[in-house]
Amino acid sequence: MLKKLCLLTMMTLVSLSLTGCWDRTDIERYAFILGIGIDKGEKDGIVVTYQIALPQGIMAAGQGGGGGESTVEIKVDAVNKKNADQKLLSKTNQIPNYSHLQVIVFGEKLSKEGIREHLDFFLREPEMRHLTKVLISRGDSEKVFKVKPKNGDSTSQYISEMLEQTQRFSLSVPKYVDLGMLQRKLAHPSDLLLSKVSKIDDMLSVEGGAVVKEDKFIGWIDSKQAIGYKLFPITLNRNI
Amino acid sequence: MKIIKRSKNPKNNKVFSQNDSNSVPAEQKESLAVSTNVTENLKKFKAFLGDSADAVFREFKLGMSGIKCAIVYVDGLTDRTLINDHILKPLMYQVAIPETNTNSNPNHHELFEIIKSNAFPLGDVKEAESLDEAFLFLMSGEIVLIVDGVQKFLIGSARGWRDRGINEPQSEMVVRGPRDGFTETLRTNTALIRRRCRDPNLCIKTIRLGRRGKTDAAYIYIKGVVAQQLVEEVERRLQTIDVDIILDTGQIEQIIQDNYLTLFPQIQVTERPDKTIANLLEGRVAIMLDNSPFALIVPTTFYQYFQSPEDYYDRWILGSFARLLRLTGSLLASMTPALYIAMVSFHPGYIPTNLVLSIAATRATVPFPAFIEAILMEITFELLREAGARLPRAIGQTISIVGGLIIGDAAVRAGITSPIMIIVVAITAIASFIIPSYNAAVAVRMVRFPFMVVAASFGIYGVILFFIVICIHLVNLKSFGVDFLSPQAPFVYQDWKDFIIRFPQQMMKQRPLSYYAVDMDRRDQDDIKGTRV
Amino acid sequence: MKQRLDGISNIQITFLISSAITGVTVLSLPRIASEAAGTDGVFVILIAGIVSSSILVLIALLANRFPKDTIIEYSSKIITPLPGKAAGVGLFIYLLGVSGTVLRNFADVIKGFILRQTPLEIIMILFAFTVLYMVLKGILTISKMCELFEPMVIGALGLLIILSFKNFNIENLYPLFEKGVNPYLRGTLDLLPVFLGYEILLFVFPFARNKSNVLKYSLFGFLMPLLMFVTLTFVAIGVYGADATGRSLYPTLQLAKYIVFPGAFAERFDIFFMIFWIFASFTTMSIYYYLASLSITRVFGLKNYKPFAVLMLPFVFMIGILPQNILQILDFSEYISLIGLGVLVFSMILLAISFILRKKGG
Repeated sequence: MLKKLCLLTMMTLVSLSLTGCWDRTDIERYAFILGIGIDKGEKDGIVVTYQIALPQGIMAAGQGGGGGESTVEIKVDAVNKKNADQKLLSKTNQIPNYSHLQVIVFGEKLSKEGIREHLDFFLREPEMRHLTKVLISRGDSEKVFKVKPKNGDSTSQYISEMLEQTQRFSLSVPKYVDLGMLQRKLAHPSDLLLSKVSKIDDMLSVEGGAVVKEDKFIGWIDSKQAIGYKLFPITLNRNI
Repeated sequence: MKIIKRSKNPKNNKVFSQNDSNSVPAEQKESLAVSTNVTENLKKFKAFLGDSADAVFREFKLGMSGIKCAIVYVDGLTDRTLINDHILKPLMYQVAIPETNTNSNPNHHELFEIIKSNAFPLGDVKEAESLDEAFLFLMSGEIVLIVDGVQKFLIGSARGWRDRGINEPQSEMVVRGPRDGFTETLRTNTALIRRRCRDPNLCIKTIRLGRRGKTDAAYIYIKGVVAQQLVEEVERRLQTIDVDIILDTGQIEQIIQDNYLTLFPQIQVTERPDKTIANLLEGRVAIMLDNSPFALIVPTTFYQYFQSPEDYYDRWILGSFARLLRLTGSLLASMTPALYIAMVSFHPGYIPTNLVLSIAATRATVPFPAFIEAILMEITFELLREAGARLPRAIGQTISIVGGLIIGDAAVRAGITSPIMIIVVAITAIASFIIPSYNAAVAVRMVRFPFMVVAASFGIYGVILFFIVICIHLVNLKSFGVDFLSPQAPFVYQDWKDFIIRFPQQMMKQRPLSYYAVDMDRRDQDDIKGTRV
Repeated sequence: MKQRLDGISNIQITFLISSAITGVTVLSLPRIASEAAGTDGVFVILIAGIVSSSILVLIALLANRFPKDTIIEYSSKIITPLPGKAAGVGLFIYLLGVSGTVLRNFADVIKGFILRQTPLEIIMILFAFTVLYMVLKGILTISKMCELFEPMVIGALGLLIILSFKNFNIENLYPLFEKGVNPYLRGTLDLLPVFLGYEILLFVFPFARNKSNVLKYSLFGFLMPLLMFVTLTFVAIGVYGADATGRSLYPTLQLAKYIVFPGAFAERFDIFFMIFWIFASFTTMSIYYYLASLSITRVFGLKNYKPFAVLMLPFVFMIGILPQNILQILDFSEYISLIGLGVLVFSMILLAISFILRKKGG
């Protein structure tokens, strides 16, 4: 009798909980954010640019269709990134999803003031991939995201892939830094060499690098210096 | 209030004695006694057999002596030529009556003996003392000889009915290996087995099943290889069968298996003699039934369902590869839709970016959530498959697969589902065909539905928990005392040589250990030394 | 030709012990090691492991003196029934506490990483019921399940370690030995609870089939997690450095997140690893919960543990709900570990008394 009773209880509880599905959100209801750009805004605030994927556009472009946007950019003024995320919710009908973030681009002006506090927001999200690349852009990151690659990829994926393939073949592009590496390096204050992205004549270039000393951006290194840096396999901690 | 009272363990069922099946009301016993008068006997026969048109009664006189005799047989079950040429002819023409019996009162009993030893040229001759014994023989295709003045019948075998003939078993086709399969005649089947194994220790025992059916069943084992306890247990369980008629071994399987409530079969079914004999040599018992081409093999472990005879006939690498493929296939067949639902609905972050975007793009037009879409397509496919099973072989297979894909394509174009769902369904379908054993394949296919439901509620967490529940269930099953998931759990090192990787023939020198380690204890498996643990 | 199949076989003992040790702590292990001794954490773990294995040998010795009894019974025999029963109740509370901690820890991780929105209670209820289902089937089923799952868990851990070597940086392990001996002593003490799991031998010994082999096979079962833990800490510190490892809540998970299967279906290794970690937690909690029900049954002198298993479930659930946040969970684990060490000390005392008083069980 006891056995039947607990069997009954178990089945009731389980069937009740089956009706829940709290976490179920279908994939098309997500707004996949492929790239984030953070620039200095007015009065101590920041301007965050979100590049959101439009899957149908990407698919159409991929199949040689052409026409139709593959991404849409949304700009948000906010105090910090968390605030910006909140504001984003009110600007789109889909749920933002950061698990496919390809790149984070910091604007030049903002980097001069320090990127650590903004990076912190990224590092604490459990959803963050550690493969998201971090770059500093010459000028505002907004401009970078406005450049649409001709082959239909989204800007963020384009930049990300560029960085990956130049790893092996190019001399003038230093090794990129992703969130995982940053997480480890930021345990103790250290100096970094981040990738640089700049817009040249409507195209993007990742040549050169950006030197960051103790979370403040201090200057560019051009391609020649990058070659030199890359030829010496020394970690940055001991370098500068 | 007990809803189900019957114990689900067949070990506890009462043994049904065979004698009960022959029980006849007392008042009829009188009329079943054999009388000395041929005519009276014939009348009794006719009364009992009713007006069956297929029963033949032939009265004649024995040779030159003028003694009345009669034969009774059932047309259709017997070989007419045999009867006419080899029974009637000698009895009517050629019986040599000894000189001493030319007096007016021939000794009928002596005559009976003379007939039996000189004039009844058949092997397999018996005597029957009562009518109901004689009926049973009659129904088996034997011929009954009634001699006037003698109170017993002479029975001889004149069997000859039409049989399907030995063809390739449809349910278990192989590329390499023998292609004969069992037929519906028990004798032919046992012959197929005998031919392969000439060991005199091969024992074929028969038992009659069913009150009205009285069908012959045989259980076969190799003495000295099999554990004696196993044979006794098989006997005991077969004796608990108490039904009107057993039409197919499937009914036997359901009655004697350890756990009838579970989805998973615990007894192997095969149409192939080579598979049967191989299993017998590993220490198992085969059960066969007249009128059924399917043999049962006990005990069975879960992993045997993924083995095919070809694994042994081909080289060991091919065999091992095939098995690996089958195991992967069954995992795919049961979990792919669930994983799809879990990934798409709960964890899109874990799918590669490009795939995510393409799934999102194709799903944008679909009105249903992933779970409903999956259930719809899976059910449609099951319908197609079931429908295809009823159609003639060639058409049936084609219709299920091709039809499925075409319908799927149309559904995508109509915007009801997404192309990736069709791929998932196709993978599931193809993977489920890869399992050699039909009843296991059905189990694996069925289990994917609860997987889908759990995936839709709790994502990958639900899938894992349900997988654990299934594992617990499987680990707990026993087949005639052998743990169902041997040799993985419990770990029997020796049996791993034939597990996933099939070791080369040269390395497999011993029989599998699991079957000797048969534990037939009637106690609850948790009782160790009398206390519940 | 019939073998007696009563009881747990040799290999099952190995995997039982191994499963009881590899539980939820696998995730935070490198952190505990780094917090205690920085880069020396690797050696401290090794030392803690050696100390624990010696305790294991002593426990096996104690259990061998009373081959037919669990600790509940022979503690009554050694130190008179009344304190013995009290000790039994204490053990019961410990076992129940461990079950509750494991449950809560597990559910927390699931909620944090896999099912963000699902209420914690539901995650715990589902898990608890599955554990109950297994516990009701008995120790033989539990052993077989451990046999089934534990090799996979060890394999997944091994894979994690191997795949992390790509990001490994030997310099993160320098400097070594710079802090002196003190951290070693403290560290060993801190790390002893990590290896807790072998104390189940106190309960499980009488159910083994070949009692003479138990020591050998349980040492094997201890060796596997030991090896894994040492290498895991080694790799974790090598990839992240002692500081970062000491600061991250679940370094093992971080390690897993950082591995990439290029282009493979599950882009992130961490969910693949999580699957096996769920298996590990499941086996651990089942063992402890089973032993908890068994112990309370034996304290009352009864034979059937199943009603207790069912009745105790709400209590485990309550223990699971008790901590309010991660800090409290960590505190809770610390208390339970202390009690665990107390259990070890208690068994040592029992051993000593049994030698002195020459008590032995048939």
